[in-house]
Amino acid sequence: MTAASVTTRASASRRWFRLPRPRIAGSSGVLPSLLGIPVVLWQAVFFAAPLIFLVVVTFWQVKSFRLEPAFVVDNWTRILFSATFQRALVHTFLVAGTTTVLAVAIAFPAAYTIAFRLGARARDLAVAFLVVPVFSSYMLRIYAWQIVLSPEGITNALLGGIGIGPLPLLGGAFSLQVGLLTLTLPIAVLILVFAMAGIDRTLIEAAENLGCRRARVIAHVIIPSLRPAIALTATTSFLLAFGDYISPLFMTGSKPPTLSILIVDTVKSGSQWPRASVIGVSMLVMLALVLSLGQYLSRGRTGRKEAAR
Amino acid sequence: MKTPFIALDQLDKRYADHHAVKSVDLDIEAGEFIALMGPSGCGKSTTLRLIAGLDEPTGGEIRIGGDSMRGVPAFQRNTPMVWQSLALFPFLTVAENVAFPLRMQKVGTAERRRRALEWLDRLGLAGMAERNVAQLSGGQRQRVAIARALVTEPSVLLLDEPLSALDAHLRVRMQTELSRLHRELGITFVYVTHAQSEAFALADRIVIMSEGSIQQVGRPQDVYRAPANAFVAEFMGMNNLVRGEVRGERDGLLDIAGALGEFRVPSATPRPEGSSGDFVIAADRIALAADGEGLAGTVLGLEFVGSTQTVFVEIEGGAEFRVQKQQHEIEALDLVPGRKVRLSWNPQHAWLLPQPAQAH
Amino acid sequence: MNRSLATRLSRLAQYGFLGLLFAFIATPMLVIVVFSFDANRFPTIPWGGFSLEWHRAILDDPMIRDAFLNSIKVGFGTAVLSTALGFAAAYIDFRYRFRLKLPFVLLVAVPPAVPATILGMAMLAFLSRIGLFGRLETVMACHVAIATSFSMAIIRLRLNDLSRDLEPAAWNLGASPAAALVHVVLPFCKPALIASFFLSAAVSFDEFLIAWFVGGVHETLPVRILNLLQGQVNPKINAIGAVVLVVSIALVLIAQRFTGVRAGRRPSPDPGE
Repeated sequence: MTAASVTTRASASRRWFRLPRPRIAGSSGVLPSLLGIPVVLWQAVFFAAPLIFLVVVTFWQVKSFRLEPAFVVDNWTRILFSATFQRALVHTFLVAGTTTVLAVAIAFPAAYTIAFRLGARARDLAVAFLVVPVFSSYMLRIYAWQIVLSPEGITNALLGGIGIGPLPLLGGAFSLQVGLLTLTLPIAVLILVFAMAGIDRTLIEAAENLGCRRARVIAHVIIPSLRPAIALTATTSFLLAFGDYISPLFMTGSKPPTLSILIVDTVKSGSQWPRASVIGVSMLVMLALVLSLGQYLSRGRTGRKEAAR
Repeated sequence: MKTPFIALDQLDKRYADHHAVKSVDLDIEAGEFIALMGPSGCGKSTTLRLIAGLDEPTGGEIRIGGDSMRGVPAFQRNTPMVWQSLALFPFLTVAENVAFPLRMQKVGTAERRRRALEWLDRLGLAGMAERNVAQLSGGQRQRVAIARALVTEPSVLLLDEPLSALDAHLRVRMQTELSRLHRELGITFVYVTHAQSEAFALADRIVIMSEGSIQQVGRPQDVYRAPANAFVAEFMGMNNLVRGEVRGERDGLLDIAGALGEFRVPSATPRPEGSSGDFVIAADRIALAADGEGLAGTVLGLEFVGSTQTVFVEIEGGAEFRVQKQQHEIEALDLVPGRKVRLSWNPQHAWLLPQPAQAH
Repeated sequence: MNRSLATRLSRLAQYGFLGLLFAFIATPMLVIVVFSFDANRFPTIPWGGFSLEWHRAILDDPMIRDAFLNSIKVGFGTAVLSTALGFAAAYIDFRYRFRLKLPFVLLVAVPPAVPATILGMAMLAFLSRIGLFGRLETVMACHVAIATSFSMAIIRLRLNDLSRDLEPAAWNLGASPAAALVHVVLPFCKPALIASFFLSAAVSFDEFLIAWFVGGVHETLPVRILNLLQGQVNPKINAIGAVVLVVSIALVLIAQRFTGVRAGRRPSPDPGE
């Protein structure tokens, strides 16, 4: 009964947005063009064109420090077969993968507590608190972790007080993950909180009334209905960690380099624009693949069958 | 011949997935109160939106005051509408809502405020001008919506199920109010509703629609007593439809035989033997008796409708009849579920449905 | 074991975990603010005593002052433009149906998802070729390309609550589509427009990679900080950091105040219904 009413409500609201927009008699295309053209132009010049140009540049050449139009695949072969690139690629994948797993594993229980254990007011406060770091001062927060974790920093000063250390906290995989989780956790928790708040509580209560223990409710009711949200959390975390420049730079001193670090270094050293572009384009291709994998996984088994039909 | 104020000429509206309005012809006289009725999805609201220009017809034409509305955008038609959702602007005060159409006509600030207040006064909303619409009761919001639609003094008012959100008590009061406004203003009201009581209380003529087509147009009593077809008969509710076939004619009445037995029904025009003899008999025209002549049936249950009760009777042979009776008659016959009864009526009260069109 | 005790312990563990997470998120912000008032050159424990020395020092630094001014200009321009473009995009998505709608929406929505390193490099490569490198206006234009995505999202969300009948009602009452846009849709979206303004300002105020790539000699404040961080330890950083942190948190909080987005409930739609 509950499940049925949930689906009708969902489909009703979906139908709402598919309703043919009322076309009024005699309306012309002037207004939409007036609104749309500036947007399209702006995004074309400052977003799409640069990215397309990036792909074009991968086939160009640098002669005596000047970028010249050409059509060579040399940049591609040099970068894709270079050991530096391949090492950085594997390293970046491992780092971003680790961040993704950690972010989802930490964010899920936290989001669960916020969505189902906090009162309405506390929940709003928690959401407000989490939104702030998504849009503010990431670089500064990484710098703050440097202060906290550095050999003479706060943590080691505290540990020294009780006779431990100094521990080499900064400059390794640990500090890198601290940095990347600083970047990813707030948004990961937010996505999951919003998704969980969207689950009909009566569904959960119904399951509990049917004698489901809390753990089973989570496994059989909450996780399946959160599948798309979990996939979104994972792909978002991966995307952020994969492309990040600041954490590798400040938390590990760029050693070993990630792909982002490699891009900036390649541009800086000898204006190797085409090669930096190759790295950039390869990263975008890989991100696109990861995103489509996430899409595929989020649909679940039934969704995939439907899509196949 | 008088030219109608609003003329729908072969009006047609197709959407990608359904045919909402099918070749509708309708003339609406100036000053008339006309109600479009029908079940949901019958095309009545779409017709109204087409008149207002909120949707573009895919065929046919609309003329208002003799002018074709083809290519005239909604905002140049001056066909204000009272919406089912009211569609009041939540970010404007009551007075600003009412003054909105005048603002769009570039009427000066002082003048539009004066006229808005005048209309608020006229609808009993004096003193509410500065309120937020969210602070008003349902009935008050309804009046604001009506004032807003009338402030430009249009020659037609469109109403799309305006009273459906109100409770029964308020609904009756608003009906009286609308009736009064129509009388005072003398303009054309086109009123969409699915509620028979509203249409009967208000309209000069009603238009019954089904699946995008007009089934019947006429005065409410005429449509009720003389439905044009089985759909209208059933839509009007208090009619019992009896299916049968013409067997012959004698003494000016047709002999009709069907699954329920043999009946005699008057007919204005002769009808050949073997043709359709479907007829209706209104629920308030049926007499009930404990025994004697007539259809034999069993009382299924009773339902209050105002001061009368509707008795549901299962006829031997399967049909279900509705009979309307006063409370004292029910008591006299001791009608309780399970009681055997006989149904009879004066043959002159039966209404033979016109023969279905041979088209299609 | 007692069932209710187990429940209570599990609740305690959940709240404790959430507390740790919040501490993890709050710590760096607190560290910046607290140590900006520290008299020590290098921030560590023990605290060197309260001092406004470094706050005063940044006021005397012309490069920081310029950078701050640049950030304000870029942030303000971004806020205005991306709110305007975001509104246009959101309204088009809300009102019209056309074949290229998905590409249109993606063109606006996707930019923040592209890593800033790659986007910054691409913008630098392309814009320097068409002669736009090294201008403050270019930094702003690029920030607009990113921030419009957030503006569109916020305003689109608000438009979801616009009663389906409200705009047709305005047309019906004599408003042309353009007049209805100005007199009905814009006022309805006002809270979202304010939120979008402040959030876009925050996005711009916080962005450093693209500003670093395309700004040339015109440094915004985060770029100044980035350059300072890559140099020697500089105690001014904490002071600027505290200022930047306070400004950007304020911008985000103001934006949030006007979005009305809450977990679990949507703000009530048209009260006229």
